[in-house]
Amino acid sequence: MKNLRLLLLYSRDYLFLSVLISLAFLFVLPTAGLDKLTAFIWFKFAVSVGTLLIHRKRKEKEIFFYMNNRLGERDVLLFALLTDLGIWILGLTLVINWMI
Amino acid sequence: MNHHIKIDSVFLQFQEKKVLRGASLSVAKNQVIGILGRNGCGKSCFLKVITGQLQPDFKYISHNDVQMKNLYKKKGLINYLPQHDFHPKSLTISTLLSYYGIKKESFASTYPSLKDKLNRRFSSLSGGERRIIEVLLVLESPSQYSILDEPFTHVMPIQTDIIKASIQRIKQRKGILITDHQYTNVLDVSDEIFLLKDGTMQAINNESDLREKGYIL
Repeated sequence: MKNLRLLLLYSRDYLFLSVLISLAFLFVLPTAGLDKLTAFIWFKFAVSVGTLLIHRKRKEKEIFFYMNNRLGERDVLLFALLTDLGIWILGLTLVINWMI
Repeated sequence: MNHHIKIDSVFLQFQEKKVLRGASLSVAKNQVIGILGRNGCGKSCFLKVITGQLQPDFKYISHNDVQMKNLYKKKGLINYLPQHDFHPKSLTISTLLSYYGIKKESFASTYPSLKDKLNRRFSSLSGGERRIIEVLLVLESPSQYSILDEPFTHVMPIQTDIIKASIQRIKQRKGILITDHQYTNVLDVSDEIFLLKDGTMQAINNESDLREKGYIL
């Protein structure tokens, strides 16, 4: 539970922004059509990685707090990215089901 | 078993500049090791090698004679105080204590002068207050070893005394590696002192050794 709280503390700013970006993609997808889906997926993935790198830089000094509390940098970054992509895939599935 | 961490033969080079040339030391539990050295001699680099932030050309790091790539990988083995603030500013001191597994009541009774700060956010404290809180969080946490980079910097003399007393008390249960420019404080608390000079660790017995080696006048 403590680890989950720490992971959310590290990634909340990133997740807030990335969920907004995901919503924007999902909002535009029905208009663009399913033939653009592959491009959308790659674009979202690139935006997520780029945003995560900026987030990592912003949190550079704080990383020792997480490391002192037994969470490595790889742990916190993976949690942020996988949670973001998980939310994105869930939203994507719902939108595609609604479209077809 | 004599619990210890050993950092041996660290070689680090930035382009043409050889910063560390076989720097070595070991820290045992119940021991305080002090590192002194001029600006740019590689003290912080040495600590960054230990914590895995810098990859040197060569290093041998072990815990109880078992080789390890990164001491941070073993949960609860070390914690680290960097030179800069490193705690999330939105958290209160009480919350930080709970993350570090330190009981609020015992912290308040050990450090009564900090009792009124416990419900304040980290961001609302002054630079010196933030520093002493960070030093004490790292020291009081239940890790086996603490690595402190400039714990006496930015704190006022009375707080320096609090930190020194804490180091003496806490070394009963952990090993402590410390570096700071306030050499008198480092001399006061350390069981062994090394001067990092020309990329190697040179043992120091007293202040006159420091004078001989050109660290002080």
